[in-house]
Amino acid sequence: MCSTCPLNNHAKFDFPLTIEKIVPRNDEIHFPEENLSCFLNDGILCLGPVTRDGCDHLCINQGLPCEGCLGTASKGFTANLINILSLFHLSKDLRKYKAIYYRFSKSTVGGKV
Amino acid sequence: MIDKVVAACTRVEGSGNLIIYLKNDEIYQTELNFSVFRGFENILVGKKLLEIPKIVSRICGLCYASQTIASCKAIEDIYGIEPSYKSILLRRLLLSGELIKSHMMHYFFQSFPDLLKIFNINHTINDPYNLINYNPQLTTNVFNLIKIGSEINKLIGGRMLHPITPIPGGLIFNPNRKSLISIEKYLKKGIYYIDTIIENFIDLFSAFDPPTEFNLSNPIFFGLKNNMGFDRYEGDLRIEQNEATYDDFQAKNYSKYFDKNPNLYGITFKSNSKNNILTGPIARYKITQNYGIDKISEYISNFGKKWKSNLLFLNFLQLIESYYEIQKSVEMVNTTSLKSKTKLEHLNSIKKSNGIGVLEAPRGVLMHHYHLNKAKIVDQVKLFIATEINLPILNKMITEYAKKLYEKEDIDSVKEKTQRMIRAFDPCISCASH
Repeated sequence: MCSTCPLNNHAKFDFPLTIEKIVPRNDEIHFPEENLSCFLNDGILCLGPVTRDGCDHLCINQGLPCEGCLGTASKGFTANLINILSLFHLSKDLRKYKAIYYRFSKSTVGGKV
Repeated sequence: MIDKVVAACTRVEGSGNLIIYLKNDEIYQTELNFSVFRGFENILVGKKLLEIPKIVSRICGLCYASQTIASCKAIEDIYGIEPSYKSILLRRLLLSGELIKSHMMHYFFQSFPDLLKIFNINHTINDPYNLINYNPQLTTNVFNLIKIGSEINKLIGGRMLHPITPIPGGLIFNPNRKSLISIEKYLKKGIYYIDTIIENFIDLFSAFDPPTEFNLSNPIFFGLKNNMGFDRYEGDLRIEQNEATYDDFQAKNYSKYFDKNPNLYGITFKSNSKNNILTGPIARYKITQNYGIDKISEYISNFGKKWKSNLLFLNFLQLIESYYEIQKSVEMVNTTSLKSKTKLEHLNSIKKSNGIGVLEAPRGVLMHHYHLNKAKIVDQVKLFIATEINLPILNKMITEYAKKLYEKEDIDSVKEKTQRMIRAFDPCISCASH
């Protein structure tokens, strides 16, 4: 959904990006009119790059990153996600956090989440 | 030999089965059975705390705001913070929108055709087309109210279903003048619609006595009690046997009175009484007694004692609650603190390992309890859902009713009529099979 995202024009990536958080801190939540930087630039994981377009960017318009609730953009959500995550430098905490791939369900692979 | 008769339970929220057990051609048990188990209490284990409100919202398509806000309250309890007054007002408005939508849908689509049949007014309504044509004005009013509920949720929650804006620490929405005017406009129209629906209910049914099979035999009422009056957001819990004997307790002490094992079905109440627990609009009415609005007392005075101890009174109370919530929302929209600019509370450090959030969802008490381990990761989740609490009394009443019916009627008629009683309870199967 990045191609239609209101923050798209302001995304200037300098890879590898460092991703530290899944949810922004409460003082980091700004409406797109006030804040013009992409979540990925700010170190917050946004699932926009691997998610289907069509929700009118409801979460992004409220100042929150995409959760991927509309489903995958093309076949194989996990494979797409691994592709995009390979471009980032994930923090130690997130590297072990399997719930990135299983947000609305539970991983049955490898025991604990 | 035991025979098992299964009937799909229609016109309820979610998908459930009515199961009748026959032994020697006599009914010995009847139960409402859920064929699904979705395991949200397991899904949430190991997730990050701040992700939980968005996930639990998906438990139900009707009680989404209640689930999200109860979860936010539990997380705020863990962090030891209180959201701003403005955020609380907006949360209350969100809950009102949800309640209006949920109650109107249950009343009109699920219960209204049953009521017409029970009171022998009309036996021909068997499909949606007949229902819509029965009283086109009533249909229009109901649809308008559902739209009002949805629009309020869309405006404040950011989405019609599964709201985005409620987060632990507050609610991300700064209402401007335009949005407040549009909410007020919707609500003022809503008062007219709900007035006509309540008057229609009184005209149609108040002259009759409700059937005795639907009488509630001394249930124990369970709900939220706020000394300020009827309130679904804040307060202590109350278990009330009758007006004189009751127990008030804070939500954090709930395990003295009831508990559950997340791996097993159901909630266990530690009570010596043989009577079953009931929560929901009837319990809220019995516990609060007075809604504090004269017109509501006037409406309720049309119904006598027989109605007030009957399950079918729940339908009328749903209309009354919708009326109350619309009136209170109009007052809330006009408060000056909604226009003030306040910042979201910061979630600095975790203060406690247990967090409990409780509120009254449209169908009764909803409680979320999260427990953190030493690494500050969620390791146990308990969700106390109203329909789970009501299931024992529901199963007891439908068993008695089915036994009585089977003495005179055939099994198909028993299946159909027992489902009327299930629908009168307004079970939310999506929530209960969380």
